[in-house]
Amino acid sequence: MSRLHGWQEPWDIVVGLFKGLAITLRQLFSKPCTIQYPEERLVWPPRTRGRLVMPRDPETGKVRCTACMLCQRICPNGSIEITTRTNEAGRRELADYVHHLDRCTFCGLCVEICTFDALRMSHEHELAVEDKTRLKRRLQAEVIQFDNTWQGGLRKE
Amino acid sequence: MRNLETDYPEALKTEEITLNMGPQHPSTHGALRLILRLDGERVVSARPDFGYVHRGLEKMAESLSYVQYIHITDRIDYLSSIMNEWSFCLAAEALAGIEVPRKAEYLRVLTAELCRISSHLVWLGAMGMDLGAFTPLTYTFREREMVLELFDLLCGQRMTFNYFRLGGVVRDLPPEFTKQTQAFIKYFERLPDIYDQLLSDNPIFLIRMRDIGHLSPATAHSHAVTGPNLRGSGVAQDLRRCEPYSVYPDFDFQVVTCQEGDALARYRVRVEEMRQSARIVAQVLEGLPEGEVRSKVPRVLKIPPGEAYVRVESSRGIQGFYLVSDGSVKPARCRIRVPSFANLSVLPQLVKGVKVADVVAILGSLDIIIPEIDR
Amino acid sequence: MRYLFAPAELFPILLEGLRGLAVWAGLPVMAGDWAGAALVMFGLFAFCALTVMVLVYAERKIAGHMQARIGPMRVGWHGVLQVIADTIKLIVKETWVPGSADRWVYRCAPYVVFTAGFLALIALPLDRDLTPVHLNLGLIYIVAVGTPGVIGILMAGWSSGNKYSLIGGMRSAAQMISYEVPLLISLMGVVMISGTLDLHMIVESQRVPYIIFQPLGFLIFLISAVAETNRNPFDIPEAESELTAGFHTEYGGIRFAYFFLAEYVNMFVLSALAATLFLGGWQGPWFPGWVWFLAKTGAILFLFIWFRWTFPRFRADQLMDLSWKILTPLAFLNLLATGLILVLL
Repeated sequence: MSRLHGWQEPWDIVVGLFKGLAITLRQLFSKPCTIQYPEERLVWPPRTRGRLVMPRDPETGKVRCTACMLCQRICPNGSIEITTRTNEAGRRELADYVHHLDRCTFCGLCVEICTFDALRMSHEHELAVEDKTRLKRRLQAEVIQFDNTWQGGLRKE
Repeated sequence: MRNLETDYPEALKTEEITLNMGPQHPSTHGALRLILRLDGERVVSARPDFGYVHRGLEKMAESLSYVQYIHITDRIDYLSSIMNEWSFCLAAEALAGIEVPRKAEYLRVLTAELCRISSHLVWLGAMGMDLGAFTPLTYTFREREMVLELFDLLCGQRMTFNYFRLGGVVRDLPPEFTKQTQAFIKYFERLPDIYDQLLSDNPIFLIRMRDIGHLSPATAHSHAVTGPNLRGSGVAQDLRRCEPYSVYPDFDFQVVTCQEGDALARYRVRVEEMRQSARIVAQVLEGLPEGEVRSKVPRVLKIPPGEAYVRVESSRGIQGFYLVSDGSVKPARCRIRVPSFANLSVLPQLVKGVKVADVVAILGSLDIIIPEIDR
Repeated sequence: MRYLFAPAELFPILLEGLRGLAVWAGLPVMAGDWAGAALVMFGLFAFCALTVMVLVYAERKIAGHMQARIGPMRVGWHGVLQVIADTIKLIVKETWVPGSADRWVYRCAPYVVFTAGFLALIALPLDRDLTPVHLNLGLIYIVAVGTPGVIGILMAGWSSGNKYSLIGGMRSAAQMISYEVPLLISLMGVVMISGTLDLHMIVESQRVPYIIFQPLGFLIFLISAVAETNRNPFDIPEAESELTAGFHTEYGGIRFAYFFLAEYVNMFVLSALAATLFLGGWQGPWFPGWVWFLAKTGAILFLFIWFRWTFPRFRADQLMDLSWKILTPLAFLNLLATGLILVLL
């Protein structure tokens, strides 16, 4: 029997095979690491970047956005669309804040740049919809209470 | 006695066939097409055909400001995103003359080395998969998941981090990060041994990987092959050591090399590199300085005209950014040097004369990322 | 309870009933016999399908847990009905012939492969009295009818009109023919000790399982059996990472299901053969014979599954090396040693 090219000594072969077999067998009786997704969920760390939200201030009940347009300008994909209007006092204020989810890459630059702490990224990440029009989210219309201890996701630090 | 082959050539006439491997194929690691000329099972020639996932990333840079482009660099090589961010930030910082605080440098090293671990873990699993061993993949992905969780904790995303900024990083470490990372490093210490037992102690794995895809240092240099592939050929070229950037001189680590230059050598280099990366991570956590993580950079940053080319050691080799600024807020031109492109270019030479099955093994051992090649 | 220990006693009663039914319906008694034969065939097919289902479920679960996963969990309790759902899916799926295929050969191939495996099932002694067909050359029969399977695989590979299939088919032919040799020779040791080719007699003659006398033979048989059934680490005919799915790349729906069925039936047959020849078949205390038989077969099957989810795959030429340069000489050596010992003792 000629020794084949690249083969080891017979003893090493046997030991090598059994080492692998031992590992899989040990794993067979160990705990699997699967998480059964819809029933079990991971706990997201505070900084996880999910959907963009605009929480309301509990004192005034209004969103903090002043329509300064910083977020719209920083957004690399143009996924933020702000419409402004002039109120009775003659000052510019937010009329409509549209977040186009289909263009968003969740980079978090908008939250980072906001000087009024008006934007947060929530942990909401199951954002699939059947109808594309529902990807257009009007943020200031949603009622999310503002709380300074809120750990819902990415916030300005 | 007559020789069948020489005396009756027409009786044993064989034809070469062309086999299209990809762009949809289980082991071309994405949309890569290999046009193989086969003589039976033997490869006569191979020609890689790529560009299926070209996204115009270089052109995109010309229409985005520097800070906006950082999250695009995550998508060049999605497994070592941090290194892409790093080389881009280094290039832009060199142009703008921005200083990076020492703590930020430490955090950059920390994330880059974690990223290298996760990237090599994916490669290791895929390598096993290419050779028909399904189990290493799930094991390495289990461990990679822990690294991704660390990243989630740190920057809020698992793969597209968007963590670096010009002049530092976005955020400091969260409170529980250090402890969790130390726990991971401790857990990770014995893992390469398990992979060795599962793969490189296995005689089947050894006869599959040994003496195939032999890459000589001369060929490697002539094709600009870098990273673990080059180090697998015995060349101790590691930018972290031979052209140190950031705070790498502060850390004690080994530049892993292997003399053989075959697929097995590249395997050994990568497994050992994971250990070294874990060592660096542990050192960073020990010696983390206090201070700012980000220097003051104006919000609208106009970078003075000029050009810069900066390269870093990514998981796959030298990853570089060449930026030209015309004085505006956006780069005038951006060129990306990706390691996988050069590493793939050597494949036709390596696979000449091997069997079809070896093509897969050699391709796997080169560790290429298709979106990085296509950009 | 009585029938649990001797399930074969059921059949004569059933046959009497069928004959009576035939007479009652005004048909010749022969009709009852034919119906009985059909019933046996149907029963065997059901047994085969059921075995495969259990096997597929077991494999998926074991593979899952070996890989730190949990395997199927959704359909039924812990996914037990997953196999049924998959079967239904495969059956209702559109069957489709690729344009470049050799149509009739393409259509026939899966049935040729399946039949080869299925026929072998007929002669397996499940219990002392529970053998569908008792053949006094049972061993030769099982090995012989299993062989045409390779023709079916070659047909599939050739007729699909796909280069991957072609390479897969060719590899398969080379591999299965090569491993047939050590497989058969390793069995001959057992035949020499027991002095018969009748599977019943072989089982009966085992006071201690033959694995004690024939450890090398068992090992060679096991390796060759894994290679014969094209399973990892010898699954080069369908090597997923190289050939996408090898010879059955172009198959889908029910035709794919037959290939799938054939693979598992072959696995079962070879494991059962190993259990019969080396582990003492149905013999064992306390439990009914067929339970012992199934348990021993199951143990071998577990080895098959265990190997598959641990090892990487060989390369085609290394596979040939293993067969011709290691296993075949070893098998002959084993045969020689067995012969010498038998003569000298």
